[in-house]
Amino acid sequence: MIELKGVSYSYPNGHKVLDNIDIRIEKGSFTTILGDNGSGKSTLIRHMNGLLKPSHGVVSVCGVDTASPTDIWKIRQTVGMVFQDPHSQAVGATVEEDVAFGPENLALESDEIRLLVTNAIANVGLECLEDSLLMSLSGGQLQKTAIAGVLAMVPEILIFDEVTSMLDSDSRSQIIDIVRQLNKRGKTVVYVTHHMEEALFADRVIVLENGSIASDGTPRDVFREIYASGRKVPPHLELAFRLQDAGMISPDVFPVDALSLKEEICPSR
Amino acid sequence: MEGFLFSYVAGKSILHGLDPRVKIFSVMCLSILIFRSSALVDLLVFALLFVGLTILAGSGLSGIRSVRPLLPIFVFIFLIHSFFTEGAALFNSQFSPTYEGLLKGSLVTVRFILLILYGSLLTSTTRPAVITAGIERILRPLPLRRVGVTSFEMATMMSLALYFVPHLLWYAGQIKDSQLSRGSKYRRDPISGTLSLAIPVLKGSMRMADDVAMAMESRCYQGNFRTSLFELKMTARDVLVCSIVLGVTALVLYA
Repeated sequence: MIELKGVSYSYPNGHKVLDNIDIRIEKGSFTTILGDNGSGKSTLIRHMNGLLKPSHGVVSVCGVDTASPTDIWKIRQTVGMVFQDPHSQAVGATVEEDVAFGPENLALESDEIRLLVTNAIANVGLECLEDSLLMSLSGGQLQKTAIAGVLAMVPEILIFDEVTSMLDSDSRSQIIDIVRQLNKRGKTVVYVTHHMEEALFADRVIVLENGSIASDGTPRDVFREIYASGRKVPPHLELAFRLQDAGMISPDVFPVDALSLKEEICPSR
Repeated sequence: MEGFLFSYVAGKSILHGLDPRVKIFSVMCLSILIFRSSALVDLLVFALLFVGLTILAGSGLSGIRSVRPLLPIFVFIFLIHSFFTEGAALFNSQFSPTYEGLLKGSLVTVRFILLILYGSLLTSTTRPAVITAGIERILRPLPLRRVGVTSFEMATMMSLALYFVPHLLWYAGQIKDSQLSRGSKYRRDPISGTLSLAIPVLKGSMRMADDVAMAMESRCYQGNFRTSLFELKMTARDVLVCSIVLGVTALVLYA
């Protein structure tokens, strides 16, 4: 679906942010991109819907080059992107108006826009807030509005750029649940985060370091590699790896949270 | 932020149901008439009309209360006219307000308050997106493309302003609180305090503008053509209201 071949990107001042990246994102997959601040995560995903053009290399979405000016709007409709700061991506005054912004840009008829907006708002569970002013919403509700705004354009691929980094823990888990549900319903998901726990639910984890791919594989393989290199992994995963190394639990076990690990160690009856 | 100046208050009144073009046109006509009024008695009629329309809109006194943040501006306008209009001095002092100044100051201030109140009534009874759609439809016949903009771009700018003005005020408040908590002497020295507030607010708003532009682009915003969630249709009631407003305005102006 999305293919990056030999992609490098430098800012006009010459600072190189991405260096020879090769990634292929498959249809229906859930890919997490992990990395520290400044590792190039946001720059990388901004290439995936043509917001940035590579200095070298090619980015294509469903076989279409993002450098093609005639296809850029089709690409942006196919690849929806939700950004980090919920306040800085709102363009309407109320939830309904903000969600309608995308379909309005696609020049759809009013009835069609209404249907898309209603469905998108229902998908994120904001039905009772559709007339609410964005200024009156919490950060979590604003981020759900932003997700609905992207869903209203019916994209095939969804990119989430550190969408939980400004939210409290409850809102964070709600947003992650929404993302997982969307992936289960067939949407291709690219999820950028620096929270390792959020990467455990993915099919694939890509770790970026200084603009290059440091690791790429299943969460099990990537987190094993991180653990083996002596770096921090989520506490329950560290415990699971230690128990595996001591031969106390199966090496196939990969608990996504503490509860799953507890179930492995002492299953509830 | 509910009840903020110029924010929308949901409702099902006759005013809420009117076409935005009719409401914008009516506010424009009322503004002309208010500016033409030269007696406080005339302005009292507009004030009573506003009270009547507010009751009709079912928004109570929230619209009037939302004007409170502008009180210092009203006081400033009144004082400027009171002290700097030539006429008979009120006190036997070198720097005294004049009788003529007080009258002119009252007149100008009341005019200004009424304009703000009628504007607030428009925005409190009309969804921002509907105002945007209305403005876009009003501007569409104009040859704006010749000067490099489209009616869609103008409408989007206004829509963004309606969201970001309250948001920027909130943002400035956050920065002010953060500076006060770090020992800023804003209250003791408001002038240098305002300057130290202006730079981070300006920087933050520039960054926010950049982020919003990127979010809009990623949602396929092109500016040259858009449709709207709200389809505008003129009804017989809209035409009737428009005719009454036009008739009354013409009568007052040319009678």
